[in-house]
Amino acid sequence: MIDRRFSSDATSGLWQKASQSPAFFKGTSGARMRPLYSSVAFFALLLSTAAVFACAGGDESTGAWSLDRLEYGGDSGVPFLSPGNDTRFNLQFLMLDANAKPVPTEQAGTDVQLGFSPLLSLHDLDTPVKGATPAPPSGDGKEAPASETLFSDDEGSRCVSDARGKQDFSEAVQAAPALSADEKKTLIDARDGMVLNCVKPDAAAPAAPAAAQAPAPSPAAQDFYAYLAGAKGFYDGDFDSALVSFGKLAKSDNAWLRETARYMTGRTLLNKAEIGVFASLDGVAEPKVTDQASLAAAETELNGYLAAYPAGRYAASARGLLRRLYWLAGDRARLSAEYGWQIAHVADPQANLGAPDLSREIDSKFLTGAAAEQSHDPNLLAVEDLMRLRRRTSEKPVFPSADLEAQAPDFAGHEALFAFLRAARAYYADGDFAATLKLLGPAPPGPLSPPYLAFSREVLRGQALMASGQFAAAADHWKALLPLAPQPWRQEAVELGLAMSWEKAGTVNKAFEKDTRIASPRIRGVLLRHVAGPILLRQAIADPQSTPGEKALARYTLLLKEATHGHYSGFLRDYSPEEIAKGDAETAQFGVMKSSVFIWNGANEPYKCPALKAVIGELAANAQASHGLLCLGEFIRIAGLGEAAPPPASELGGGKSIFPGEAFSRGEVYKKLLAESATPENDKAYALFRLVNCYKPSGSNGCGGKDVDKAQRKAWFQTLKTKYGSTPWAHSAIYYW
Amino acid sequence: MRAARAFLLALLLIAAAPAAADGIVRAADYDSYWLWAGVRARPEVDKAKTIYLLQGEIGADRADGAARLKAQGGAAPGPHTPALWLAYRVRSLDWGPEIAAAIYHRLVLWRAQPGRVIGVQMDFDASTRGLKNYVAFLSVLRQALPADCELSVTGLMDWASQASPEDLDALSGTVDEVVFQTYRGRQTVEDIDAYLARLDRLRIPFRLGLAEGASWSPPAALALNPHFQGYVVFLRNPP
Repeated sequence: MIDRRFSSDATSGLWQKASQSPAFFKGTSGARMRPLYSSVAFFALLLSTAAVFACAGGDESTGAWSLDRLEYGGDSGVPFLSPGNDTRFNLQFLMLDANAKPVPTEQAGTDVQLGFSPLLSLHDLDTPVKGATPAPPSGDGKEAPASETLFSDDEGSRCVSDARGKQDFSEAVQAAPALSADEKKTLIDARDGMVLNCVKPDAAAPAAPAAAQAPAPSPAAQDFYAYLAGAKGFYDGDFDSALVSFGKLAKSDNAWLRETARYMTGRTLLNKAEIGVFASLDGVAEPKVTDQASLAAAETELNGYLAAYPAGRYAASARGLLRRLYWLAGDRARLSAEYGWQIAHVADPQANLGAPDLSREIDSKFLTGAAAEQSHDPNLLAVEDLMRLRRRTSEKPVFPSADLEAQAPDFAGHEALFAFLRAARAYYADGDFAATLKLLGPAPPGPLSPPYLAFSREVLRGQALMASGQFAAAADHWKALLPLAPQPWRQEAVELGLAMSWEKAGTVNKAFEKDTRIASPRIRGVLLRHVAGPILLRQAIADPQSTPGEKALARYTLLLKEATHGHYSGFLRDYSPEEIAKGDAETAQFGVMKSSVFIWNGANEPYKCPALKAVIGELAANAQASHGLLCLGEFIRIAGLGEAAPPPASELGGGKSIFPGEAFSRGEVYKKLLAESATPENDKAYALFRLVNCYKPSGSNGCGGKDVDKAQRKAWFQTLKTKYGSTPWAHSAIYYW
Repeated sequence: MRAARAFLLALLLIAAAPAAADGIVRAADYDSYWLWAGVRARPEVDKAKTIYLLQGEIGADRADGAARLKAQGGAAPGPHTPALWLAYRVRSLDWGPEIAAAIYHRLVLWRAQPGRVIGVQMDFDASTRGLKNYVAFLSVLRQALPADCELSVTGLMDWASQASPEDLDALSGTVDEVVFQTYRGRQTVEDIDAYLARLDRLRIPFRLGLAEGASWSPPAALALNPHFQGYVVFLRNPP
């Protein structure tokens, strides 16, 4: 039984997090800066301080630099079929494959990124894939009329078509030869003046404009008035009167009226069947239809319309309404078959949604259901199987081979997809990497086809080689894959595999060498930040090929690690205030680390220290100097510096850093100075004071090193207050935590 | 006077939210809930005093960075007994005018139905450093909504401990209440007591958001806080 409590991927937010995770480096927020453009319009209306909104960060997805996405990743995904991808990623990859669309325009990151760095964000797929969206029925490039914007995307209201309906009606009236100019004007004015209570429930709804009000209308005008009465009844929810009005037009001389009334009859019946089927308060739309007669009649009418007008102006919409009808009826078999058709035909004139919207609908209307076994469509099954391979706890997902094999008949004609799923199951559920490689078989020669499925298969091969410790073979595989996947997103994914293979093999320097250089600045940035030693960092600072952000990151990381890993003479050699100022100015536009933080002029209070360069000089002469160590601690404390926590071992940069030496930990340095008899008493007192304050204000250790229990903190506090009671620090210490 | 009022309030709160013996948050012990997309309605919902009902998500889901409002949740505007807050998950503050207009319109649709609609709630994870911007955003949003529409925000526990007093004061002058989330994932955060101890910095009506099924033991000092208005439970589907 699958845990489906939160299987709808489109649901997010409150249940996920309670607080922001702290940034590791000071001043390195990963928030994305957005240009002002769209905010201006809104705020200029109301307030002149539009600028305050420009930089507000959105959700910061936690982007793991890894190809193994075992858990649900939210908006952050990878450009291949993966269990950790939100279903909307996987659905859209399959839609792209099925529709043989040219690969959409892709963009990859152009510089290092420190905070959030997903390989692919859900919104990355939105615009390019949007190219496959068929134009709306009367899409003619006009601006969306204002009343359409009163509704959210996906809002389930029949009134969303009011504005479009107005426009279509007006065009049909203008095109009707049997209407006089006066009649045309009166009719268009009547439609434009119609106030619909579903659009403006607070407005008093006037009666429908009627033919009786017009002086001696022609028969053609009478038909248009009948249509207006139907439209008014439809939007106001008076469906029975709408059906009567539309019914009068079945034999109208006007072709637009005949076709539109026929379509509207089916649509009206469907809306009638929907009355009262949703609870007023519910977090999930679960229709309970009681008016089965209207539902059945709607199906007959919509099918009748499609039979009469297979390429009609409302054909895509009618097909969409039938899909809604299957959903309302709880007919999952027909619903899944229809979704199967839509996935394979997003570019078809009869499809009413583009890939992003369709994937969202499938996620919310189908994948949340309880009875997945009713799906027989290979693409839907594949997406569900990948969800089932997702890790929900620390345990491997349970997905026995027999369960997958039972689906084999449904994959007839889609053998390549099934073969991929078999290998993915062995990899993600069994953790059997040899079996994964065996199931994948040899790589077919030639270009990757279909693009996303074939790419997913080759990435899985690389993952399995890496997981089985064959890093050299994995690196060869990734190198061979690079020219086959030149598109930016996929290129970066392959480079991620390559960089991780090199890192594991202990040859990370290849990522920076001329002939084997990794093109992705984001990947190089992760390596510089977490893995690189002094040689690679200096090389990155000097390399004219380095991006500005990369240089800034390398300079900052080099100075920080030299100061905090005991490389004092190296620091003095690399430290130049002029170079720092020049470098920071060159990279000002990149919100990465500023090396100017190292231009520190020392402090008088609470402990007297000279400038940082003198502090490091003192330590270069005597690495154990208590004054020098305390002052280095003061610099780090006041500047709020800390080394970025390394990524988990399973991610890029999670291997052992090749920067030699142990990292400076204030907590351990204070303890050591306190324990050593050579430490001057005054320095011991200050170390004690700092140790007590390490646990301010919440009792958690902010100084690094091994935590101590509360009894020890109390003992420190008491020693400070007694043995060193005459020092100013003892006076200012009032609490311990 | 102040002390007497606080004491009275404490008594009321103790009566309103009895902690279960095992300290596990049970929906039946509370009267206000978040009903998020994908969470199914159940008897507690109709009997509730207040429901925060998810209406949509606002995110920059296009490559051009412009935010869109996508409807979420399963309810259509209809008659309701509990007082309602219309909740929106916000991932981007980069709004065009149509988003505030659509929220306004949704409020009008709901208010046309029998039952009270208190206002709208924004669920946005503003970092402590971003709080100032967020407050400015909220004051603009407030002007775009009807005067009798209250404004609630969800808050991160960091705000209470790390935000500057000026930012917190600005927040309290802008919104009607803050609901702080005490949980991460399905569990109450481990260091919650340290956070709660900082809530006395707030001069604004606030509630605490609890996760159904998480463990919770209210610190005694909470009931004495004159700004504490009670709890909102984030409902989950039963397993």
